[in-house]
Order: sequence, then C-alpha cells, then structure tokens
Amino acid sequence: MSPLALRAKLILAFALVIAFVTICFAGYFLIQQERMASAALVTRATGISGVLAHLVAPAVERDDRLEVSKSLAAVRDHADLRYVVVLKATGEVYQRQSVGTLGPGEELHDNSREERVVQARGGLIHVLVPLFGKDNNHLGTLVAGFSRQSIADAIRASQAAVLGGACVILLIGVGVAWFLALNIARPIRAVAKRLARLSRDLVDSARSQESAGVQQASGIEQTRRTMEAVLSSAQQIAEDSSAVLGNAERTVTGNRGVALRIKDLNSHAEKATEILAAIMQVADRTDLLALNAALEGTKAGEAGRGFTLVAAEMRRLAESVMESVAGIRRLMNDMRAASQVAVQAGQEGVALSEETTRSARDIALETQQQRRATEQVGQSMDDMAATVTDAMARTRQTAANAAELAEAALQLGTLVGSGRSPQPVQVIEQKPLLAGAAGDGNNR
Amino acid sequence: MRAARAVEPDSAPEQAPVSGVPLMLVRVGGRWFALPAHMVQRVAVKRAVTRVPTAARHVLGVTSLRGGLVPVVSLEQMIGVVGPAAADSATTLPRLVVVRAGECEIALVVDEIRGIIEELPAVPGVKAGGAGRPGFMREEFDWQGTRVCLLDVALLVAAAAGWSQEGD
Repeated sequence: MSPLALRAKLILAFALVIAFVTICFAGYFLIQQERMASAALVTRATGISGVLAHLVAPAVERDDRLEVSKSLAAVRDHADLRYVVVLKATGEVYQRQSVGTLGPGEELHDNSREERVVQARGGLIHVLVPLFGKDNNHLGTLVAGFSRQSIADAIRASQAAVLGGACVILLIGVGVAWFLALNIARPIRAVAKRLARLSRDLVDSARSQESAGVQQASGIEQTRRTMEAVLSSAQQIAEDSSAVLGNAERTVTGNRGVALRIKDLNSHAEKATEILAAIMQVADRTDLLALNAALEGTKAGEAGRGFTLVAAEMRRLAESVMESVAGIRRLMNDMRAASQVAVQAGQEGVALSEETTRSARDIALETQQQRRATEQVGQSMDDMAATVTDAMARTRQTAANAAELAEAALQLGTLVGSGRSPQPVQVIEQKPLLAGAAGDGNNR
Repeated sequence: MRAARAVEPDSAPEQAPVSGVPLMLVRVGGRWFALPAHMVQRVAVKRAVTRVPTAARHVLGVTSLRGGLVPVVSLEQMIGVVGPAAADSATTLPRLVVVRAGECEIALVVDEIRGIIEELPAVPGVKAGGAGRPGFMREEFDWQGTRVCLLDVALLVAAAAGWSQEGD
C-alpha cells in the first residue's frame, strides 16, 4: 500500500479534528436541549397541576364530584397530559381521568403533604400537589402524569438540524484544511527540492574533497618517505663526521707530538752543531799545531824527520776529522733544513687538522641540526597525514550524511506530493588512505 | 815594522833548483803556491787585523803574533786576480803563514795549507815570469796533477817591505 501524501494526511487530520469538535458540540447541544425541554415540561406540568389543584380543592371539600370532573375535563386536551387522579386523604381515588391507555402501574397513587413533588418514573413525569381546605386541612392529593414524548420529539428534531449543521461544518473544515495543507505543502516541497539539490552538491563536493585528500595523502606519504631517506642519510653523515672528527683530533694530537719531537730534534741538532763546532775548532787547532810541528821538524833537518812524519800524520788525522765534521755539518744542515720543512709541514698539518676538526665539528653540528629538523618535518608529516586521514573520515561522514539528507529530502518531496522519483546518492566507499601513517609516526 | 834587508829583484837566478828543499804548499784563491819551508816561521789562525791607514792595498793591516806586530799581506792583492776557489774546498780556517827574510817578517793570508812536501818532481819547473808578473813568482811545476807556483820569499818580503819602506 502506497503511503498517503502529506497533503492528504493534513486534510484528513483537519477533517478528523473538525468532526470531533462537531460531534462534541452536537452532543453537548442535544444534551442541553433535552435538559431544557425537561425543565420546560416540569414547569408546565407543575403550573398546570397547581392551577388544577387550586380549582379542584374547593369542589373536593364540598364533595362536588361533577365540578371536579369538569375541572379535570378542562385540561384534558393538553398535549402532554396523560392522566389526572384526585386522591382523598385516605388514599381513595376520588376522581380520575386519563388520555389513552396506560399500562399497569403506570399511574402513581401516592399521597403527599409536601407541596408539588415531581417524580420521574417510567416514561412519565408525575406531579403530586396536595389539596388543602379552607381550614388548611389536608383533603387529598392531585396526581397528574405528563408524557415525555414532547422531549423526545424535540430532541429528534434537533438531531437532524445538528447533523445537517455538522455536515456543513465538516465540509467547510475539509475545504479549509485542503487550502491550508496546500499552502503548507508547497513551501515544504520547494524546500525539499532545494535540500535535495544542496545535498547532491554536498556529495559532489565531498567526492572532490576526498579525491584531493587522496592526492594530498599520497604526496604526504611520498614526502615522508623522502624525509626518512634524508634522515637516514643525515644519520650516516653524522656517524661519518663523528669518525672524521675523531680521526682529525687524533691527527691533531699526533701532529703536535711530531712537532714537539721535531722541535726536540732541532734542539738536539743545535747542540750537536755546537759540539761539532767545538770539535772543528779542536781539529783546526790540532791541524795548526801539527803543521807548526812539521815545520819545526823540517827545520830540524834529518833529526826532525820522524817528528815531521808524526806531525804530518797528526795533521792528516786532524784534516780527516775536519772533513768528517764538515760532512756531518752538511748532513746536519740538510737535516736541519729537512726538520724545518718538517716543522713547517707539521705546523701546516696541525693547522689543517685543526681546520679539519672544526669542519668536522661543524659538519656534525649541522648534521645534528639537520637530523632534528628532518625529524620535526617527519613528525609534521605524520601529524599532517593524521589530519588528512581524519579530514577524509569526516568527509566520508559528511558525504554519507549528505546522501542521507538527499534521501530524506527526496522522501519529503514524495510525501508532500512532488511526484518525482527519488535519485539515489551513492555514498563514498570507505577505503584506507595512508597505510599506517599515524602508526608510523608513533613508531619513529 | 822590523827592518828588512834590501833585496834586489833582478839579482834572482834565472833557473833556481827546487829539488831537495822542503816546500810548503798553500792555496790562495784558485791557485797553489810553494814556499820554502825554512823561510816559514810559523803558521797561525787568521785573527783580527788592524788596518793601517797609509798602507798599500795588499797590506791588510797588522796583527799580533807572539807579542809582536806583524804586517798581514794579501798575496792575492800583490799578484792580482788568482781566480775563484772551488766552493767548500777548504777544510780548515784561513791561515796566516809568517815568512821571514832577513830581519823582516810578514804574514801571508792563505786559504788552505796542503802541507810540507819533502820530495819535488825531477822535472825542473818552468819560469813563471812574464809580462806584468812580479819577480817573486819564480817558476811553476806540477805536483800530483796540481800546478804550483814557487815563490821567492826574499823577493816577496822585499816587495812587500820595500813598499813598506817607501811608505815609511
């Protein structure tokens, strides 16, 4: 069964409300009508009974039955009167008169000393009026029964009128409800159409946003891998620079030790040169002495020949010593020059090693800073990936909500009677964007 | 300066025998000279020389040797250019060779002293004289492959002292 349209529902609801109100009003009207008719009947009955009792009481006191009968006959034509009974104080029926046939026990034969007692019994209203004489003695009771048919007739006549009026009101109410439902459903239908269009646009935007998010996530993932490679390289560079730093520091220490050794060697060479100078001087003096000795031996002639030979031999020894010393001096000079070159080279080596140490330290520091910066960039990439993943989830949720909203808008349009077939909106498929992006960030 | 006996340069013999006389070989610059050993008084280390203002160019000055002042004579200045010496050829310090002729002593500045040679080669030397050569350079001979010029100490001292006497 197809669901009812909103307009029909509204019309039906308004009609039901109006019908309920009309029924309640009609019921209340009829009840009030019956009550008023009953009150009017009681008023007429008590009035007629009172007048009749006032007319009958003197005749009963005189025991004039004929007069009583005439008085009763005077009210016989009353439409509602069914019977009149005059009871004596002893309860004996003094005179009676009825209209039509009454059922058994339908008449009431009760005496009453109270004034005007009204009782409803069966389908009649019974009015009991006591009869008093001139001496205010109790003569008896006039009992008159009135039919309630007039009330039923009045109610019956009112029911038709009420029913006709209710139908008229119901028709008017349905017309008003149709008009109101039409005015209410039209803007709702327009809103539903607009809502459906906006929902479709929202879904399209969510799809585009998801596509951009996927590309962004891919870029972030690639950047993160690149940063990991850079971090690995930075760590390798840091280790290498630390090794270079250690080697450079050891080289500096070694070069300083070499420089100290060379300095000591130069000092020793200076001392050796001084000693060589002393040896040279001694040898020179020896040569001089030997020469003079040879000269004196020569002057001595044949006697000094041996002396001359010894002196010549001494001189050759001295010259040999001086030649050796000269050779040693040349070697010392060469060694001093070489040591000077070595000292200079050592100083340059120390300077270069210190420069290398500073460079290696700077490289290590720069690499450490680069590694920290790379780690921060990687952390930022992870945070960004997590943000993108969260944004993608929210986008999917938005797309799903938009699809549901579009579906609701279409259903609303259908309910308000747009007459269009709903266009289904596809919800974006759930798929993982970044494989363990957040997890990798935590594991870093 | 001590008085020196005058010696005539022209009175030197034309061919003086050199064998049998011990000679002291000295080097001045790039040339070798031979001095008769008996004419050499002593050999000393070259020490501080005090210049004499009016002295000739070849007299470098005077120096103190054994308590007396001896003129120091540059044989190189007297002869002229003797040629450059080989680098680092001398193993000893410069010497002063004190020679005596008569009563006159002079100290010759030499770069190296080879020693005293007793036996000379049998081949007689060649007259070393020539145009512009001083007379105290008597003759030259080869000794162990080295060209040596024999000096006449008397003429040498006379040449130095004569100038000195003229200077006085």
